[in-house]
Amino acid sequence: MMALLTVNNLCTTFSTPEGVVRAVDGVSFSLERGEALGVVGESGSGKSVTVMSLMRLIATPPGRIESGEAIFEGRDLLKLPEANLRSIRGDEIAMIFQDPLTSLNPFLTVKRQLTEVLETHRRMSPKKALTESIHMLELVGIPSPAKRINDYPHEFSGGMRQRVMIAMALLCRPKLLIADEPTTALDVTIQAQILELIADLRHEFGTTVILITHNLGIVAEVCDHVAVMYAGKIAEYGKMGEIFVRPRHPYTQGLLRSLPRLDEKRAARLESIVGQPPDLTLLPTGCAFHPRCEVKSEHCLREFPSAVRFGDHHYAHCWHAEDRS
Amino acid sequence: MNDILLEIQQLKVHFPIFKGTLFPREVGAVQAVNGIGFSVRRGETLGLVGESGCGKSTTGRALLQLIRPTSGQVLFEGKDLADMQGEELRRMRRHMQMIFQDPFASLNPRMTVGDIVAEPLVTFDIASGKELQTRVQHLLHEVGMDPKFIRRYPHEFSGGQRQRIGIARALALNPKFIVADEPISALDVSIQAQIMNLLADLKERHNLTYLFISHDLAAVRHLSHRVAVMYLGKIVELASHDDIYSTPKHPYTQALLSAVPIPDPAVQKKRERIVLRGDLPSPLHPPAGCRFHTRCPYAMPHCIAVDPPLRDYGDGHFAACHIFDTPPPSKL
Repeated sequence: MMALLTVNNLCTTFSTPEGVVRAVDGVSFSLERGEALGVVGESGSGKSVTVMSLMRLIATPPGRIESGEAIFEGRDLLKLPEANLRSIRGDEIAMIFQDPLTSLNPFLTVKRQLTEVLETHRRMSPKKALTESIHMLELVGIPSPAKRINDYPHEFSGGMRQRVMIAMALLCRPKLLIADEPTTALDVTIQAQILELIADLRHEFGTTVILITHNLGIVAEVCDHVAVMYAGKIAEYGKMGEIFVRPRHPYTQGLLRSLPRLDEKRAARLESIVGQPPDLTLLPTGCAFHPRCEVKSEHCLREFPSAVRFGDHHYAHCWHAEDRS
Repeated sequence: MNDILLEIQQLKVHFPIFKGTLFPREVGAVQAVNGIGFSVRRGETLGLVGESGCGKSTTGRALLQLIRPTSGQVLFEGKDLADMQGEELRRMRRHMQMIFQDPFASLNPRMTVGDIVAEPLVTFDIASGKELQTRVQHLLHEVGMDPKFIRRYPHEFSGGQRQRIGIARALALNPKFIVADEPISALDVSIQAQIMNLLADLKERHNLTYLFISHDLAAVRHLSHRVAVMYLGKIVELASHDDIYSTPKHPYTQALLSAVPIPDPAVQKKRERIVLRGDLPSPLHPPAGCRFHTRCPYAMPHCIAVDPPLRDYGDGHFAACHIFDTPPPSKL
């Protein structure tokens, strides 16, 4: 079966006063229909810039998509004319963001913001768009949607606002839903509600999902595949079960070891990864993780590791990935 | 039980809301903290967890008198801080320090790292000149920072390093008690473990007592001896870290624990999750009776009428709920 989205060698740079920063540096992956891919990484690892580049939402300047392709159902998103892209955004590919308060328009009622999507993309009559919008609000679990649809975003609580965002994203039944830290601003009990909602909707509409998060627990709950990013590159990619049970990259291993867990006996000390996340303007040579790596060698300082494969769908960019299996 | 460093009784913090410009009158109050009590033993880490708006930060600040309590007592080594004013209170402050959540907002961008860490020592007239310099270098070394950074400014450091600077400042006066208010929430995952280890090391070395405030239940479990769970300005459960995580009694604690995603797909699949319905009610008009009844899966008519007291169910496991004659099984 043909993949829904294939990204090849995506590079995005930003020019800053300190020089040109390679925020995304040669990222490739592909997404099957119906799959949920988790992209994890720390701040500055390039996870958000990767998906913003796919949607061509990078402000230029200072940002620039240097190279690469992103084939979505036979069309290269990076080369499409802006007009064609606009009909894909919000229709075939939808996005939800971390902070629903800043991504909804505070001056417009929820009704206006929802119906606008359907009137633009689906050329629906206002009346039909309203019925459809109310139905979608009901589906995402907003109580008395016919009444609440007339409210402004600030009249909703944080969790409800995120539901409105999800409703808006799903109005056109997108083939791909990109969720960028959708629950980071929410409390755990509300986060649980939203994750359950995303899982239900995936089940119902068969939507393909890219979920960006720094929380490995969320990935374990929602995703089938995981890409671990570090300093603009994918450090490790694989099936979720594989990554959590047999992580191969020292960074993935370190991350998993450093988390205190509710289901295990309490350790006296946490095994932390030493050092700081890299400064993108002063990236280390070779493998960018080497200053923090316990198993580095001379080779790691000189050359970025090629992918070492473990089975069909699991690879790690590490010269020493094989040694420690 | 005998060596209690800090004890609070019937602590209330209400923020009044006024209406009218010419003759403002009080029209209500946000009941951020509503009559809570607990004690912290010397050398203990007490974890305080809860969701946003539950009053955990307000509690931390009220303990240090950064926000004056509306009523209630805060006894630090037997002396009531809530009664103290001016110089007397200022003298007590050196024994109690705070570590803040946001290392970007809690350090003055115009001061050098050296000045930031030295400031408490200067304010309390403890050291000057050469000795001050040595002390600051020693403090930086202690939190894992290179003392050569003394002349640099906060913006030159990453989040984790800034948090270390904030910790050095809190340590400067050799305090007995530190309130750490979400000290790791703003940090990257790989840095959180470093800071938790640092806090644990410093506690050992200086015999510190912590109030560790966080919404991250796994982090609280890792660092705390006992844990208090807050909901809408009240403590709903308080127990040793083992008990609260293995046999949580209050339905809210159970839901909170089951909502935490565990980074292991095999474990995740087997867990049964309790998803709470609805949102946190407004602390301006908290529900009558038990404040949790609007979201509680086990709510009974009794819960709407009577606010359950925090009761001891043996071994210092406190809970405030009406259903505990037959506790429901743990769902973690």
